[in-house]
Amino acid sequence: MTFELPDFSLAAAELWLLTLGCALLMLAVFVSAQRHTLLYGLSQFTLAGALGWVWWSAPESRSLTFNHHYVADDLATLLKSAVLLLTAVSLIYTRSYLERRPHLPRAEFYVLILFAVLGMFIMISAHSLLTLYLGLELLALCLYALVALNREHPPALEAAMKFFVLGALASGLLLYGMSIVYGLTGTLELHTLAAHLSDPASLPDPGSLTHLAWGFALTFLLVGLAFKLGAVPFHAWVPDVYEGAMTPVTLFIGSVSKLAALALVLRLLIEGLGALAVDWQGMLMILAVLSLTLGNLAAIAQHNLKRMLAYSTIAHIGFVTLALFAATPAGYHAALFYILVYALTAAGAFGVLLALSGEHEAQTLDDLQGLNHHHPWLAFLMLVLMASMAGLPPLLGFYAKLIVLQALLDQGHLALALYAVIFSVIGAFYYLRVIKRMYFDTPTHAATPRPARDLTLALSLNGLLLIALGLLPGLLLALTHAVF
Amino acid sequence: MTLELAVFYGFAAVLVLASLLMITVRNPVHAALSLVAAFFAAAVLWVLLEAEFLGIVLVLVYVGAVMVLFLFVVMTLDLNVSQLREGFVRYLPIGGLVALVMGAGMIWVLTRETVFERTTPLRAGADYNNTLAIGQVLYTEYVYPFEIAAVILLVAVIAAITLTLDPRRRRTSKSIDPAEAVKVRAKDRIKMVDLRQK
Amino acid sequence: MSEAVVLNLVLWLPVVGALLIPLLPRERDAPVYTLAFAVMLVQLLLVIWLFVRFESGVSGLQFATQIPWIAAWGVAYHIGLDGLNLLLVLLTALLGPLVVAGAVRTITHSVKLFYAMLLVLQFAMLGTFLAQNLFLFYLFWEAMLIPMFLIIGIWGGERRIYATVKFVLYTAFGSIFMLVAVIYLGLAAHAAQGAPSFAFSDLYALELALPVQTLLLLAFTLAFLIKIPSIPLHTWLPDAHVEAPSPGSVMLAGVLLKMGAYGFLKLGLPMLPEAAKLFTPVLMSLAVASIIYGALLAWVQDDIKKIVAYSSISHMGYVMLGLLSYELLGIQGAIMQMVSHGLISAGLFFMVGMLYERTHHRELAVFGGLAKWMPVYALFFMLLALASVGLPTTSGFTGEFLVLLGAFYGAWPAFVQGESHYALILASLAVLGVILGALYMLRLVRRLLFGPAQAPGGQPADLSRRERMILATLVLAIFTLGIYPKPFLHKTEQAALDYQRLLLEPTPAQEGL
Repeated sequence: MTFELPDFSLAAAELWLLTLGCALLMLAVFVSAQRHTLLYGLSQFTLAGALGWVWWSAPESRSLTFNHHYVADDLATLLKSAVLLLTAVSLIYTRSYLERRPHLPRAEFYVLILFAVLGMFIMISAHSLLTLYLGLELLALCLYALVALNREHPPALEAAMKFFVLGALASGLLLYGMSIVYGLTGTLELHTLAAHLSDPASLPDPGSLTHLAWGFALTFLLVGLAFKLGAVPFHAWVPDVYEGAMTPVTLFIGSVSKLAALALVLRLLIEGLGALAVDWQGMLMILAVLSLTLGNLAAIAQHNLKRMLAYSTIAHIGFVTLALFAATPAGYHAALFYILVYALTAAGAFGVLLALSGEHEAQTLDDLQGLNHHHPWLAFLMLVLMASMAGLPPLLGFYAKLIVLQALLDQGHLALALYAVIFSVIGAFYYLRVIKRMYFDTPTHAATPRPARDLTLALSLNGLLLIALGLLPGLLLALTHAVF
Repeated sequence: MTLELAVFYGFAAVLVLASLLMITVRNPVHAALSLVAAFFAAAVLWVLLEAEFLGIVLVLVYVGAVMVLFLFVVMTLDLNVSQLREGFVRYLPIGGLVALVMGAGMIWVLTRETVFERTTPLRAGADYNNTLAIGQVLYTEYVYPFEIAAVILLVAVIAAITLTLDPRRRRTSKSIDPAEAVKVRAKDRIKMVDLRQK
Repeated sequence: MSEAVVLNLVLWLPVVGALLIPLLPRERDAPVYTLAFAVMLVQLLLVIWLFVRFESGVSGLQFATQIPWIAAWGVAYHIGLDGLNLLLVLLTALLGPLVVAGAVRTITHSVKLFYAMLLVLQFAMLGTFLAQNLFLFYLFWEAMLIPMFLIIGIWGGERRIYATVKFVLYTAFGSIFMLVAVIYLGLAAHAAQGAPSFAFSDLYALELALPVQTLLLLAFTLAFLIKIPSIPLHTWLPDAHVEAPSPGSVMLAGVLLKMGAYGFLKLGLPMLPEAAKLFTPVLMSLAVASIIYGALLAWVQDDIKKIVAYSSISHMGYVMLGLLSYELLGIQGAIMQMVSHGLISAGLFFMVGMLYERTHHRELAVFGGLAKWMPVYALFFMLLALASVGLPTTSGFTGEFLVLLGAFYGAWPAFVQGESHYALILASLAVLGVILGALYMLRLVRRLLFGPAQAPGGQPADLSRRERMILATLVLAIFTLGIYPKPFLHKTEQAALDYQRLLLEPTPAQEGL
């Protein structure tokens, strides 16, 4: 048996995150939790440093290390950078929220966020079923704890419980699917798996028993993935968790973690099991159609904005699954583009909620009522964010929908494209309702205090980026296109 | 061969039965004990697969350490988790039916011989050392997943402590701060009420 | 080359204005108004200059700018003037300063936001007319949605929210199908030429199978018919008009409604000629039905604003009729009718708004004999009403007459050869619309201006100088187009000829049939 010493430099960002995460943990033992700025600063420093390492360690070409458990490629660099930037932005949005609530365990919040980022990194760079699963578990565990962090809030505990039980179930299903795959191929590594399947001799004949076993494996894997993505009918946890968790955590789950979820799907289904596309396409289509339908319809009935955004996430995930369903490079590119745009937009939307949260946690439509009178700029930013989510041109969200439709039409799926389009109009209705409440209605409550300057600045950048990239979509397109 | 089969079916039945008991009995202590039995049965099955190291570890770590601690916690806290399971019993018929159908289907498919690459465990020679083999790959080929598992455990510890330890609750519990206690004055403890003026 | 720069300036000036507005001092409204007016006025002067420089008798685009934008999809920033959009751009630019002037008294709160939205709307409308790339066209088309949503929703009347949501959902529903069609055309162009492209000129050259064309046409038709609006998709219009503030109504009737017809002109007919020909009877019937139905509905309304709104449905029917005649006169007439209707309905909506500002009423029943109290108002109202009816020497006459002439020319050959009668019957029915138009307009004039003088809240003041200036400009334009339309027709003639050739020349697909 020969053993090759792994190339640690490729995983420099992960090592940095782990080290600094532990350092932060130790620091939290010795300094008072009141020294918030220190904790916050160190967290931001960690994220910035990790970004530096990601770019420094990005290899020229696709490289494997850690005995093929770890892959570094363009997709990983792009997604990791996006995760870090969005996390940093989320922390900016969150700072004043935490400052107003001294009873929350701040140090643990930052530590858990950093470890969650580490989990996402592991998923993004995973190159074996084992690492995929472990990264997912690391992320999930951090998220469960983050949801439960606000212990004095019973809905948070209930949401955490629901999240935990369903998440564990999903992990179990995923693991079971993985073990069947291992049984069928005798390998954990994704490229060996793909090589195994690309060999026509080992591709299962339709109708054969092996094919049936693959069907079982794929079903378990997809059910697990659908749980993690929050696609209908495995979405039950999404609205409760979004509503129950405190807004910074919802922001993190609703925006950043979706990048990792897509990475999981891309690595597992496309890199590993791409040859079986014919078999998983149908399942994805069902998930997509159901998600679009239920997500958009249920969102209309919501009064709580966090819940509404939860259902809107489900609908957006429907779009992403549609893009993956196309099972072409254009489709994968569309899914990646869509999720990046979605994460950016969702971060901004929750950021507005955080900007409006004083002592009271802004989360219903009433909290936004007449926002234009009190904070015209915030109202404008929210208008941009909502319009982008609704897919109105020339905002970035429009291009995301467009590129998905393009991928679908290119494969001749006209009916699906029309279906998606009709439901996105229905979806436009509830986004418009937010705009209506902000602009057309007169405020019923006093103005909330002015949000902190760094928050406003980050939020403005976030909103204006949607416009700027909407005017020059070629920039982001080139970035995502280089990956596939 | 027949003995091996008999042992397998015997302990597999115990495993299933114990798992079922674990989630159905009302008393949490009984449930924990059922789990111990399930672990033990699983360990036996692993040994049958010639994975004796894993079998022993399962017994030592899970049965010996984790479950004992768990039992200890359950007994000390006198938890009443039976309400948590009420929903389970109610949906058992439907859930059970679905599980049964799926299980039957899977057994039908996955027990066919041609499906898996390897249907019987690799027969190693008498000098083969399971512990050595695991040790050799765990810190070399699988060092990355192994380290991630360690991080997961660390996070689990952080999460568990964060969620249970509340620095503020110390003030409301029975613990006493002597510095505060000595400062007490009589009027803090006794309030004189004149009943006649009422 | 400098003209191309000026054209870009025309398009982007409103954006610059909209960006400058937030920088103005917070407390006072006057600078906002001045800035918006100045931007619109400069824009109008530049457009007039371009109009003069525009060479007639030359085919193709003039003053064009083409810059690659999203190279991966073949999207270019490609704008330019041609005979088809020249007059519409002029109309839009003319209405701009008038709307700003007209809004001074009407818009009293959130003034900055209003003018910013108005400028953005102006940008989007001009962009839609100027775009020479389907993708760009779609972007501008959709960009009109949010400003209009806010304009109706914030400054509208009592039921404004219902009206604005209805407006947006109707429009969005129509345009989203258009989006699918746009993507499909882009992919088809990619397949046909080997390189992605959304340029109109490339898309015109596509040869698509008839079933595909039919589906695409359906998608486009839905979007355009909603915007025109044609029955049976017109129900958003009365609500939107009634609830919109009068500057919003003016923009809506003056320019926005032209988008649908312009879409047919620029996209639907030339890009999908076979399917368009197949569906001509249906579309033509809808056009005539809109003419008559709109007129009948206008006849029975009691709300003055609704009368004008329904008359828009009727007048826009003529535009469709002219386009579908495939005759030179009809096409030119359609363009002329678009401009004419833009001017007249803008004027009428202004007048309704002025009356509403004074009395806060719009019901016909409460008014009477205003000619006695407000002679200047009555004069302008009479002139606009007569133009709306289509009296000779007004632009309404030029437009409707050309359209009907074109429709009869187009219908005649088929009738004489005994092939089909429908076109002639429809053209004859359309004439009925002129008579009905006279009926409802004269009813409005008689009830409003004559008879015993009455108005809620006593005698309203007559028009101010500002208001007179606005209306005088419009009336001047209406009479110019009515008495001496030659320079305008002359500039559009070549484009209309080319366009007709594009529609009628047999394509390979037809030859194969």
